[in-house]
Amino acid sequence: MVRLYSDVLNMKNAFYFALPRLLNRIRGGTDKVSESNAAESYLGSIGIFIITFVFALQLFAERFSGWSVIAFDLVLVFAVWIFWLIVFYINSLIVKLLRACGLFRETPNRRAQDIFIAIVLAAMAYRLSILHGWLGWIGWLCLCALGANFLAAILLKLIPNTR
Amino acid sequence: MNNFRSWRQSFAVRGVSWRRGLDWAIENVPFYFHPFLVFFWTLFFFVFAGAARKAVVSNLSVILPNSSRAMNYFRALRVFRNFAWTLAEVTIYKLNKAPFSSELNGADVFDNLLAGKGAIILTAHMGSYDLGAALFAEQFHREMRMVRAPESDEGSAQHVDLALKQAGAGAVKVDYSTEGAALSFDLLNALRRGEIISIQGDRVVGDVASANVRLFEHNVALPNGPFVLALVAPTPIYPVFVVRSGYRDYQIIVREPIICAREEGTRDDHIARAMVKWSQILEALLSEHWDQWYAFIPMF
Repeated sequence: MVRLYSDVLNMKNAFYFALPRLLNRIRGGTDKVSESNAAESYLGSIGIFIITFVFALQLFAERFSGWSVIAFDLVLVFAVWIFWLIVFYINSLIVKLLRACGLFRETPNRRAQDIFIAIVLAAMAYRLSILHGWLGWIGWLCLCALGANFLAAILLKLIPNTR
Repeated sequence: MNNFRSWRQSFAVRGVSWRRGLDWAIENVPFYFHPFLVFFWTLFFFVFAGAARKAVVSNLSVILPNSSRAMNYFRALRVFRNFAWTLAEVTIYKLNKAPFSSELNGADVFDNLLAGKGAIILTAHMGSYDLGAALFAEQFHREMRMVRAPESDEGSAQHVDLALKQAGAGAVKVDYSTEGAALSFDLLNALRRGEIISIQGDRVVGDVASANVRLFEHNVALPNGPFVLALVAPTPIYPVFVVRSGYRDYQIIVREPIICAREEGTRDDHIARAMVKWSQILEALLSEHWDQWYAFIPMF
């Protein structure tokens, strides 16, 4: 078996999010941005889905009881998907508008979306964090992760990589 | 009225709308949302592409005879999931020029393919043949002609044609199997000039010439055009399959060449012998990678 594209394998050990990139730099690894990390891809998807689902659940769940809760949960799974498709579409229009104003001209659309996704997620996580019980903990966990990632992004910008 | 009908058809499973939607998503959605989107698109197509779902379940019942019908529905879902990932990743390669890793299984045989003067790559609707062709052209700096069945929807056909050109960066030329005798002569000349031609040999579409072989103890019609070409040119046939082995990771499987030689017997005998070898290779590959066989029509 011969492996082609060995440089890609190196990129699979690199990360996209600022926090793991900073940690990787501290450990002596690369802090280059990579979109090839499967773990980040799956964890990102699962995390965002859980936050959105739980947020919508606590908003509407009280209105349903008995079997209708299960039906509502199933509909909600698909509603989360549709919701994010709409968010991406609106974000893409905002990015287009910002480009017309001279901003984000060098940034691909998919990366410009990061900021808007973080804002939407932070808003949902904040709403969850003021609730009691496990919902509140999920909210806090998400806010901490977003905050740590934001801080790491600043540190990566401020502290140059000397290696 | 016609405009309305073609607009409505563009939203069908074979229509162009979802292909454009996929392009849009790959350009606009961050990579850490892709598993989320792929999961839902898999469910969407599994539910709405009823004919394809039934065909996959029916094919699986022959490939895996001990698997129950209920289990085959779950396996069909896995086939749809792999197909969704394959489509997403070839679009990622085409639009974002993202790096992909690949493993070559059968490197010695592959070296012979590259060193030889003209060859037929015989492949199947398995894994990502489009991505495979593009990676081949990029990695080995060899041009390739790809013969494939045209999409039934005109808009989809144009979209796929453009997508292959973009992914292959001009090194992959696409011909359609419905082009008839003119294409046969054209391909023959190309082989004699030393070019590499890739043909899908696991499914008969339209009026393409075919012959029956045994596959999983069933009589199945497979295209015999590649074998006629190999006999006339003459040139070896290399069975090559590109299967997805993980996140942005592919395996290129190359098998020993099939030589369609003029030995004892008639021309049909030579072709039949070569087709038996091909069906044996195909059967072995399908047994192992049934979850990546995207022949969405009943084969048996």
